[in-house]
Amino acid sequence: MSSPDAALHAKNRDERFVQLFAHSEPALRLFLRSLLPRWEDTDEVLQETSLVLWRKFDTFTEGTDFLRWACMVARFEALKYRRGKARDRHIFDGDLMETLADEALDELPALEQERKALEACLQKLGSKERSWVESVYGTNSHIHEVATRAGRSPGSLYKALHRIRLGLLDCVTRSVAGSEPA
Amino acid sequence: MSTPSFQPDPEFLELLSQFASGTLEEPRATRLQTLLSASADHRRFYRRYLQADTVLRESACSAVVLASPVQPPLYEPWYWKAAAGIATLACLASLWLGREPSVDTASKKPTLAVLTQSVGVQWKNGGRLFQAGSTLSAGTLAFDQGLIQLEFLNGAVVVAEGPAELELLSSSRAICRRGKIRASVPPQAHGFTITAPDMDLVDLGTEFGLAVGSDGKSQIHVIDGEVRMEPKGATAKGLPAAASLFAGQGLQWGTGQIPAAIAENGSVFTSRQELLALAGRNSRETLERWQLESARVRALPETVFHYTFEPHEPWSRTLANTRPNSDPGLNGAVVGCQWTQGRWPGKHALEFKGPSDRVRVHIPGQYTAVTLAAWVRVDGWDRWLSSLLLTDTFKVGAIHWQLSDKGEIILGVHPGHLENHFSPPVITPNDLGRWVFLVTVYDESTRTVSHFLDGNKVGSTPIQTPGALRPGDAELGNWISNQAANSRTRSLKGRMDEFTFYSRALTPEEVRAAYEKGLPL
Repeated sequence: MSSPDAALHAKNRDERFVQLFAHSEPALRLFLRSLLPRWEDTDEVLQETSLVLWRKFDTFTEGTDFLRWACMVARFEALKYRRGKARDRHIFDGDLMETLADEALDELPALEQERKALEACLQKLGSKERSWVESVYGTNSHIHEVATRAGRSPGSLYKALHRIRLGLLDCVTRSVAGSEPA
Repeated sequence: MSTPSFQPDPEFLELLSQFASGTLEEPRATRLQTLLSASADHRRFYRRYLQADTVLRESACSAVVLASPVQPPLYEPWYWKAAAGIATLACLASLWLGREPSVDTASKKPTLAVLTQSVGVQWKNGGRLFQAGSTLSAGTLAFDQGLIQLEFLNGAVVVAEGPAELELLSSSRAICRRGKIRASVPPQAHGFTITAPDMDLVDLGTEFGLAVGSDGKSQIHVIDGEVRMEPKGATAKGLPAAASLFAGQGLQWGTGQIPAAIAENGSVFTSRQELLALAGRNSRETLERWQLESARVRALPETVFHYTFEPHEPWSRTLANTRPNSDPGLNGAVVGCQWTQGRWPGKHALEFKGPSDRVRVHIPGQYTAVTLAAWVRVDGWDRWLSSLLLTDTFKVGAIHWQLSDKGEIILGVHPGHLENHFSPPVITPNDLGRWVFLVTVYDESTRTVSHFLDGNKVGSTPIQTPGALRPGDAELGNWISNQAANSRTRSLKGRMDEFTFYSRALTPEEVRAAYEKGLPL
């Protein structure tokens, strides 16, 4: 039934999707992270969203903004997820989620620019800081295990991470300011 | 971009830190919500802070490459070995995996008949292995021995005994080149035609037997009703163009010979009733063979769990892991599902029907290679996604093995970034209601995920971020996450009668062998 042309078309379409999704994934992940209380919720909804995008890719108009389209889908999935977890006290109320989603959509280009700066700033992290980050995020271990192994309290690890995040933001502010025309 | 003049106060910063780390508890969660709801500046800063955290988290995976080797991290992360030597920042790239069709899935020819029984069949080498429930489109069925029952879509039922070679032409027409067949034709299927080497036999109601030998000699026995015989090249042979045969009449002829009347002896053709009795005896043999194979599988060191779906008692709510001395968490807890018949009479299965039906399992350990193998009968697509095995969450190490209503086999894994490995759509509407053998292999060493349907590889995709899988809490046939939100339900509708989780990548040959050993005899 599927002619070679159709097969080629399907292959091109698949490749196009992979390309677009790959490009948008970091921004999409942040978008969801800003709506949901934890990384595990974010990963779950991102997975769900990626499957929905794949299924609905035929409705995407080539030439329009894929990330924006993906964020709309992600927003819907996040709200759906929220409804399912209504008793979870950690999850934001619907109004705040809607507001956050609207604003994040407006800020997509600005956040994208800042992300590039962040990645540059990341290179300036010292090896000790990097090892904190890796041990907390790069493994599946609970932070308590990581802390125990490192001979530190979980609280001090959280504080260290917090300082690293603020340091990155500082670096970004300076580099963005520095690149502004005088 | 954000207001540079905004200075977050210490309380807000503390809330953000806890939010990012996932440790924010009440009443501070409500406090953060209040602050965010009240101020756009807070929200902007919140997004920037989270972006910093997101970038850090993503870097953790590529950091292995960036970090200086003389300065090892606190301890060796699990991905260290896997990622060492990969000289790219692959982790920062995205990991959606498109499918790479590797087989022809184009055989969407119309269904002409359904194979409803199969007893002791030896299919011809190289041919497809059909089993009860297989739908058949135009083409040849050849087998050396055994019995099958075909139900044509127009209503005619044919029992064929091997050695046989049949070709299906339409839902009311077939060629018999060899073999013994017994055709039962209800009134609505009048005109059902079987072509034998020297003639067409048009059934005008009820039942006849036809035997075509390897020597080209054929016999016809009309058991009931009337059959019209239309010899080929009748005029040249000086025969009438058509002749009617009635119940109790028989004919015999060889190639080029004139048909001669013989006594009808329909009893040499296996009837549906006899076939059913044979199938019963046969299923006992099938069961014994399968038990032998199952005993082999459960003893393999790489078998993490092997569910045979054979309950000790009908009221049992435990899906026992038959692998000896394994973690008790690997005994599944059955919720909602009822015991029912499996691939053949005498084999048990669990029926997944209600939206809450599931089997809870806990899969400890981490795996760099995994083979998931299940015998499943999908009865329909109630949902977009149907669960085979889904971990409760989709965090690092997760496994989401499921089917889409397009018939794709999907392995979602999270070795650091989410990856979805799709097969092409391979489960067609014709496969609903029939037992299929589904296998997916995750192999970090070859960086490949492969999907198999009925022993044949139907797709494979590269693993982008190699890493170990750590399933933990999971379930068969459903997804815990559905509890509150109906729209997220991924309950399977159908039956499952075998599930094996191997901590090794089976080879395509091993998958094929497992399929053949799991087929009813």
